[in-house]
Amino acid sequence: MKKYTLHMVVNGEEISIETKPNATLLEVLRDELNLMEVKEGCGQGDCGACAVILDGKAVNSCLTLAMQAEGREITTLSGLNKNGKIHPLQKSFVSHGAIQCGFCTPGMIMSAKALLDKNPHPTRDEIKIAISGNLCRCTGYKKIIEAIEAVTKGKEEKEGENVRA
Amino acid sequence: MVEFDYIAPKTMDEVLEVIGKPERKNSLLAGGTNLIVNLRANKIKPEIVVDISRLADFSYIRKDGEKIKIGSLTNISEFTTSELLNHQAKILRESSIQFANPLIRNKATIGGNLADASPAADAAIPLIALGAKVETIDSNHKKREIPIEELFLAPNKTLLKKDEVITEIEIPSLNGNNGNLKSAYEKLGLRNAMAISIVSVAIVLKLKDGKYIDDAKVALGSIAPKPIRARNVENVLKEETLSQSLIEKSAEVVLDDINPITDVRASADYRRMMSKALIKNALNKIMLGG
Ligand SMILES: Cc1cc2nc3c(=O)[nH]c(=O)nc-3n(C[C@H](O)[C@H](O)[C@H](O)COP(=O)(O)OP(=O)(O)OC[C@H]3O[C@@H](n4cnc5c(N)ncnc54)[C@H](O)[C@@H]3O)c2cc1C
Ligand code: FES
Ligand code: FES
Repeated sequence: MKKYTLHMVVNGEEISIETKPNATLLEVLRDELNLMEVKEGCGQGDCGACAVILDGKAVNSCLTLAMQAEGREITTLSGLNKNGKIHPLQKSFVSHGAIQCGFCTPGMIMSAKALLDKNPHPTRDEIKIAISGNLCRCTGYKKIIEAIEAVTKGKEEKEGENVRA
Repeated sequence: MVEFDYIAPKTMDEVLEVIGKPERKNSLLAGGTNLIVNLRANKIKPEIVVDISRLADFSYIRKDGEKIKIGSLTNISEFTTSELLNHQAKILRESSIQFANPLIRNKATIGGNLADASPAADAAIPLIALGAKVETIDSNHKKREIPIEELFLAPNKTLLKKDEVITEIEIPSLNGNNGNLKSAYEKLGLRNAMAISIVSVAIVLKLKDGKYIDDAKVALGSIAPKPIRARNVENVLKEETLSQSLIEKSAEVVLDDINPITDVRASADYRRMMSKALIKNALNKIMLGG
């Protein structure tokens, strides 16, 4: 199979990489760029564990061909860390006990991040809708929703220090 | 995943040139939420994937006189926030909110939803009730219009030729906005988010003086091999005054319109019962102010 050179900006860094046309964005991010926070759960759009932000929108990277990211900007969970500090959403997930096995967490946080970027003060219902494509088999969602809500109310700002949503 | 070549044309002319070569089996890729699932499952084996998601100018929702025109590459997520739809084709916005989840909606396109021809297609059902049509273009640059209720043949089968692309969806002028036009979309799934419908019902009524039904269009999903129009229900409703007894009668006759099957999601009997219930719910909603 022919290989293609793919150019994209991942977590603020310009990247060009050789890829096969049938590679998913998920495969390139994980296997080539070593971004292990991007998880593969179902591989068919059902679980949201693979969610990343593509040009401002949260999408499933398992249903995106890597080639579709040509010229575009991708943010994964580790792209939220700034100067060695974790993001307020991450901090809040930890402090609210919204993480158990953690498998769903990166996708969950990317969906939450995409929401807060557009709508910094969502209602509880808007939060629920925003994470409705992300399945969690451990925590039962309540704590996850509370963790996101706390950030929207600024309760986690201090702990997040100089990094903001 | 199967192996294939990939091209992402920037213009429709380039797309038509590639798909006009029948010797090279191609698949169009829009949002990929159906196609990539099928590629990953090795269900389809194209030699070349033609990524049309890069085409400029096919993503819009706009007014054209009293009609509404929607570009085939418009994402379902755009429907959920469209003020124009909210005002003039509320039912399409309503159905989009019940469509999958935000991650899928950010990729899924209206053209892909129609071309995929699922009997459950959430955008197709309200578009049929709105009397909408698609505009297409083929590799000879010939355009045609197809009423959406005629587009579907069977599960995943449409009237579209191999070298034909959906370019636009047109919702006709319904001579009215939320004043005399009442609509409702009811979808029953196994859970709220991401659920493919077990039964879905779209009703659009044109009312006179509040309750007299001038015109009625009713469409159902997941109860036949393709989305269908419920003409028996429509005939009961047309030129009558909306009332509880009319609603009961409509719910009875829907059984003559549908032909459900038993599958992993529900039995045929359950689908019959739920079709009646959703017709009732939708009409009650309209009566209470839709
Ligand atoms: C987890 C999950 C949940 C889902 N939930 C729902 C739901 O609730 N309701 C629902 O209706 N659907 C649902 N779907 C199905 C799917 O998301 C929709 O049908 C979507 O609208 C398809 O659009 P797409 O742009 O992703 O299509 P693609 O996958 O890109 O294409 C689908 C098919 O249409 C063809 N095609 C695409 N665009 C055109 C065009 N312009 N002209 C001609 N042919 C074209 C492609 O070649 C392909 O055969 C779900 C899918 C997943 C994975
Ligand atoms: S791995 Fe992508 S949605 Fe489950
Ligand atoms: S914490 Fe285990 S899946 Fe969500």
